[in-house]
Amino acid sequence: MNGTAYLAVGFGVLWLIVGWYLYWLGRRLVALERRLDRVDSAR
Amino acid sequence: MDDLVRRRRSVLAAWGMVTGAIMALAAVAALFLAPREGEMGEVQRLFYFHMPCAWVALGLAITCVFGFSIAYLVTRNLRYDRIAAAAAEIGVMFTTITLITGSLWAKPVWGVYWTWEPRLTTTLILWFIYVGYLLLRWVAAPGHKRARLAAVYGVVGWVDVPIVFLSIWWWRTVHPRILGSGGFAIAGSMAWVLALCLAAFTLLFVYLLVLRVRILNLSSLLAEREAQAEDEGVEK
Repeated sequence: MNGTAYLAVGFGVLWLIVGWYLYWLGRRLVALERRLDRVDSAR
Repeated sequence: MDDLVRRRRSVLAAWGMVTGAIMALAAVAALFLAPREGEMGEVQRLFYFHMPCAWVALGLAITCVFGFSIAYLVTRNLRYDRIAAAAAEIGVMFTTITLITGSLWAKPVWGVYWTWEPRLTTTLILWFIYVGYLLLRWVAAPGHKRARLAAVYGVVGWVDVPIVFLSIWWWRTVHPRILGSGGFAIAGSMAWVLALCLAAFTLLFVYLLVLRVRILNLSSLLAEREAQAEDEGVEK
């Protein structure tokens, strides 16, 4: 591999991890807000 | 849903958009606008992501764990414990990225992905310490006992942060020294790109922390409301 390939892999790994984490946070936040709405409206 | 929740959501969305725009700008600057380094070539550009990740992990996230753990121990307020937990998770994530990007830079420059030199070894120890912190939180039951234990662990574990930082001055090392007594020891045409990347990653950290703390607060609120709803059901 040359320097550009190492750079591409590093940049890719960075955004894969951060992107996945952001996606997971977003999904969890939406699910929690929905559940909270459901509990509140049931009371 | 009340106005406060809606307003918070729009502030968070706006913050996310601003962070995304600055991150994109930083990526363009690092990949295309910064000058090509003479000796290392293109792989040197990894440094513009590697150092900001290390800054977020050690300078911000793990230091937040330290600060909010002390705040919890002093006040016994679980809100501080949740902030410390969120910061630890982000800290482990950015320490992981720091280790990976560092190894990818090292292979073409040093000829090996990994060497047991002081900066790398102390960073790996830090990673293990805070993975241990997350495991501790995961296995223990939620409450003040877990918070107290995690807070003490978080404070003691932070001792490795100054060791990581000073390791390149304390021991013989092959790790580059970017920070000298007179500031950044790099050319001005590279320094502004580094400063932009540091600012972008700092904004990203704050955004992730706010988002993660909000999730932990909502989880706690939901558990409370569900317990209340169950009690009301039993009473009826």
